[in-house]
Amino acid sequence: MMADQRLHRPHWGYQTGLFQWGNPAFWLFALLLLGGALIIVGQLAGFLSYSPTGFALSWLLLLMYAVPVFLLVYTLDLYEREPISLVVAALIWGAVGATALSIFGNTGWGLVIVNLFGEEFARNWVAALTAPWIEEVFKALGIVLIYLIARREIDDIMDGFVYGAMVGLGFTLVEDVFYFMGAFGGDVAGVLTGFYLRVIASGFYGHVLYSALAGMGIAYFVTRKGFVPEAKRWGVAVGLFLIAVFAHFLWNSPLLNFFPQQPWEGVDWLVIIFATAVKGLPLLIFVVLMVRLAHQREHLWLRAALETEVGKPGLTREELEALDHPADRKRARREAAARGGPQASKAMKKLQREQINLAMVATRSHDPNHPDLQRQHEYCAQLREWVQRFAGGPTPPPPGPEGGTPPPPPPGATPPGSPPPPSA
Amino acid sequence: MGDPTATPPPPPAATPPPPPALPKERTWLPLLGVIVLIIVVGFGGFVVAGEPRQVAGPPDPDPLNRIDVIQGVTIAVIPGWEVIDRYQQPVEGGEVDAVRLSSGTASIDVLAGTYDGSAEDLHLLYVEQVLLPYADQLEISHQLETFTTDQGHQGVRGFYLGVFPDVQAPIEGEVSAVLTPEGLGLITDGWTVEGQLGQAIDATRAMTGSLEVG
Repeated sequence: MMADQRLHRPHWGYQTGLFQWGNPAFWLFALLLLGGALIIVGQLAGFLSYSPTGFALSWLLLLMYAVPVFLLVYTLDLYEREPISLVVAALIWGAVGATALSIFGNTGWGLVIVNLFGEEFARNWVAALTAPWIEEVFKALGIVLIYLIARREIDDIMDGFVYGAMVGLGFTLVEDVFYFMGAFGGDVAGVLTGFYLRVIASGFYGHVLYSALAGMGIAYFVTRKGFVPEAKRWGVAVGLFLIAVFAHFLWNSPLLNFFPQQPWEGVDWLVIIFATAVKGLPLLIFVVLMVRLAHQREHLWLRAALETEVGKPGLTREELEALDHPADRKRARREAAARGGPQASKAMKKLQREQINLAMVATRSHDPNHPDLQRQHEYCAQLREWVQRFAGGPTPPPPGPEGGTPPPPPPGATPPGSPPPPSA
Repeated sequence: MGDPTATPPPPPAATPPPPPALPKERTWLPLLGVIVLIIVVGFGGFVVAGEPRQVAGPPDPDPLNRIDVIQGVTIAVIPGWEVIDRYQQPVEGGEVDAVRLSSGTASIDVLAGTYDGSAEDLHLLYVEQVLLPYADQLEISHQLETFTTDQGHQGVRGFYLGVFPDVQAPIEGEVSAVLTPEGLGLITDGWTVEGQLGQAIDATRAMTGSLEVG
């Protein structure tokens, strides 16, 4: 089967990084990060000075939330993990770039709301009318800058999800510390209350989702150029951004407010879970559906890219079936480990990674007889043979300099020291 | 089981072709758009609100526009501020006369009454008897800053950030306590919605400094 020409081909296999010294977008990004860091670190230092215990507890608790979320988001990109420098840059943009700019934006536009509608109205509505627009714009600009720095890296919707979610995660971490130390008092009891309210009860609903959604829209816009009419690209990007803004507005507004009256006791703490779910759960469900759709597209791509390679030296039908599902890939590694120990599992992992790279090589070399494609097949075949040796098949001398004679290099191989093939 | 010391075979030594050139795109235009958005969204609000002068600093209190807080205690009002309320603030053992001024974006409550303790005690008294009973959550700065009014009276001041019932946004403010040789205790509480006190702090401090007795 030929790859569906209607499907946009990702640029899997091409990896760039953050540090694009010749790119003006990089310098703007760096400048804004530096300025933002000066502002945010200064404010955090103030919190540290008046309640060191609360400050440390805040970060400790937030790390317990942030690390699993980071790993979850990072690994949701099934086939091509994003370069870690860009992922961390997105996180830092959210933490210091977007937050610092939002401080100015929220203050300035808050004044406009107060002037237009008066202080009484502003007390209840300023957070809903300013923050959603301002914060979502600044978070989204981080994703745009990352795209402008490394255009090859945002090559499908899931990439936008990953960068957007990372920006949102960084933003929410710093904002949570501000809330724990400010609105919730900064003492141990206040920090724990804040953690319950903003992380346990609502940690799945906030900034991570908003900017992930905006990121998917941006990714759709930039990756569908030439495949989808411009009006539709704008419509999807702006539409997803507006959904994020609306969800943020709903969260900040007094609408649908089922929070119990303070002080909270007993069952009130459960009511809080319900109150946050009313505002946040619909968006969570929506984003989960979007991610599932994006994953389905990735499956389609992998299929489209590898279907024509099945039966050649580097890929069997069974391997393609396993490759297509993370759970099956893990099972294959476990089985290899059971038969040949941890080395066999590692070899199987490498084989799988190189077979995904095979898809990437296939997407960029349109000729089925392209030498790179043939070499990648050859390499995968060698890896498979090696896995079989570990797993109890015939026992020729182990390959490699420590174990014996390596398999013969593929025809036309260049000397050792040549650049390795792209990794996933 | 195979040899656990074996290492993977070397990767195929093929050199991958250079990636295809990206389609030509305008580089500077989107970057310019980003810069414009940052300026408009980040700082446009100050322009639209027409308050750039507050960023640069408030006008001086108008010495000709002094109002009575109580008999014998006056405060100079900055242009753009006006009295919006006069009320009795309940405290332990009675009530204290108070006046509230507002600029529309910020407010300052001014209280005056007899008091024979220290300025620090007076500050604490206000926090405990006026702010705390009404706040769902309240954080006050642990270190108080000393200052002197234009008339030479000593005072202390400190920040607070609180959540109050029926108010969606947290409130931040600065409480100043001043003692006079006449045995008077003067309190000012300048406050705004969280994040906006910085725009008003110079104005509330200037008015606090203008408190006069006699």
